[in-house]
Amino acid sequence: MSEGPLLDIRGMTVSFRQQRSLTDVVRGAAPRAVQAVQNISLSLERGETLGLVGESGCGKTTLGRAILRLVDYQKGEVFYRGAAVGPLQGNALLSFRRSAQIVFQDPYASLNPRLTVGETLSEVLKVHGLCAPEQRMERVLALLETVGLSQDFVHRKPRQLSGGQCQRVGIARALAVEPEVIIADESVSALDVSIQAQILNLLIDLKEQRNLAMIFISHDLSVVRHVCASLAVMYLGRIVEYGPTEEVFANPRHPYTQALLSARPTMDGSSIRDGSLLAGEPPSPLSLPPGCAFHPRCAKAMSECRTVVPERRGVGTSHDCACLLYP
Amino acid sequence: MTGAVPALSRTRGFISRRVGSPKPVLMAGILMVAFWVVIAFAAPWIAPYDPNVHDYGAVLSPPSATHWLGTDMFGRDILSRIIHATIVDLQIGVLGVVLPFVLGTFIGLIAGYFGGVIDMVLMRLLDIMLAFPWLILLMAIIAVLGPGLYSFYIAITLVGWVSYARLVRSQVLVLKSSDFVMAARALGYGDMRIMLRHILPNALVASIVFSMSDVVLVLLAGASVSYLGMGVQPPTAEWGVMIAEGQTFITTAWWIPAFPGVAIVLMALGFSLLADGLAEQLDVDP
Repeated sequence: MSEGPLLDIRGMTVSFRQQRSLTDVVRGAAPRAVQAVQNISLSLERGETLGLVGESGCGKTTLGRAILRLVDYQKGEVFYRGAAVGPLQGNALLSFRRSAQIVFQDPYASLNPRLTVGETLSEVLKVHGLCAPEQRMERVLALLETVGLSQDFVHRKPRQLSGGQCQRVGIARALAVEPEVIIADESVSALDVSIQAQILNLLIDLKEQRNLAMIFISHDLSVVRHVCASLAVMYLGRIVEYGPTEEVFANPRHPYTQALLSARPTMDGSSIRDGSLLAGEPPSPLSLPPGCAFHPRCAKAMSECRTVVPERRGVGTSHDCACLLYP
Repeated sequence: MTGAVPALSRTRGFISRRVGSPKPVLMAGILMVAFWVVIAFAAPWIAPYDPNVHDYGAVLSPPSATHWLGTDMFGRDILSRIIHATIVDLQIGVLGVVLPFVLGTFIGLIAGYFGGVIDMVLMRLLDIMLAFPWLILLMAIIAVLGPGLYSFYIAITLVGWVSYARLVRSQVLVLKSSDFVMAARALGYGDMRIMLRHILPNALVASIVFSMSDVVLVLLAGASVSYLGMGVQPPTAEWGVMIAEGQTFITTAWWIPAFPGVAIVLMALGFSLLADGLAEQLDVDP
């Protein structure tokens, strides 16, 4: 095993080009691109749980998919155990697929409605040649047991399952290849609160038993605080703050993080609202504001925020923040 | 796959549990189509007369106890000819749909899944096909190939794939970005596996429903083409041919063209009901 982080993301940039309309072509307008992820660097140690939070449309999901090479990225690279993932082909790529898996948000949409649970799980084992054909059934049952489903589920179709049960099957499918990294993309946000807790506990248990590294994408801060050791806050395709979860919660530095934290509902109805609540919607990622993308909504914006793009700088022990307030 | 792990294959009662009991419309469609299938295969035993034997003592006789649906200008029994023609028309209806279905599904799947230049070329080809009136195109192709049933099947395949390609492609585009296909890609499944096992089975429902109503169109196209002398050749009994032969007698012997016409309508109705019933059944339960 090489030294260094398990998963290292360096300078990742993903943009989606918009189809040019005929009038644009005639006018010779440049093709417009949505900047979904901009120059993001992150690393993940073995067994580490990283939370990725931000508003809808900030690029969390795209980043997660780009890490797994499900979306093409324009710049940057992902290194898994020190080896670049981008150039992988054939068996090497298949081997990476066994190392990193994803669990999706919508539990029903993430399962092929035509296949039974058993067919879905045994297909993984078959494609990756993980066990002899006669042992597949046994492995499938063991996987179901791992995620807390009884043997009866083998013959069921997704339509016959509840959301939570579907999500368990989705987790079992990801675990079938015995990955080292799991990206959980809003994996509990579509579920009822009581089921959310069950699935979260399942993920936490599995992570501890198997020493999984996990990137936990969510917009629910309390869930992230419960699960994650470190936290990255995204705004419009960039990471604006990164640090140990408790440190970020106790001492948020970026005005956006402060606003997010103060917007959390509290149990007693009171809140720590201090006037830093966000107004308005995030700008369109098609035309990002110059300088710091957050400045139009920022209560503490200064004149140079309009022109200078802030870099991530250390503001504490392994705590970074991309804001001009902290030079 | 299911073959390798028998215990994982579907349990009994799976169909009924998944689809539920058939609704009346679907039931009526199934019964009517089944009726024609039985007629088609039992023709030699249930037809009262030989369909091609001329009986000059009973030329142009109206419906009666001996000839229930009358006789034509050669004294051939209309009922027997309709019964014997059933298998020909059923074959036209089914093959004339299955062949375009297969070609169109293949093209739609390739175009939708791979996108880019392949998609562009195939879809422009489709636009060109759509720009022609399809019946004219059909007859033009048959005219080039020469009259006969095989020409008809080739022509209907070349003309009819368009609708299926469009239907399947639009479904594939939606399914391609669905989470379960994304999961299949994350698991490193190959393109063939993803296309055939994960996308295609989920993309076919709309086409299957459409194909049932397409049977009606193809049946009428087959009858039209035969009527014009470009399809089934006399003396083989075929409903369109029978109408064509009988039209000169329409004022004196209406039964010659009328009863084959009724047969076409009844077979078309059967497939229409089947289509509506399937749409209803599968829509709530895709």
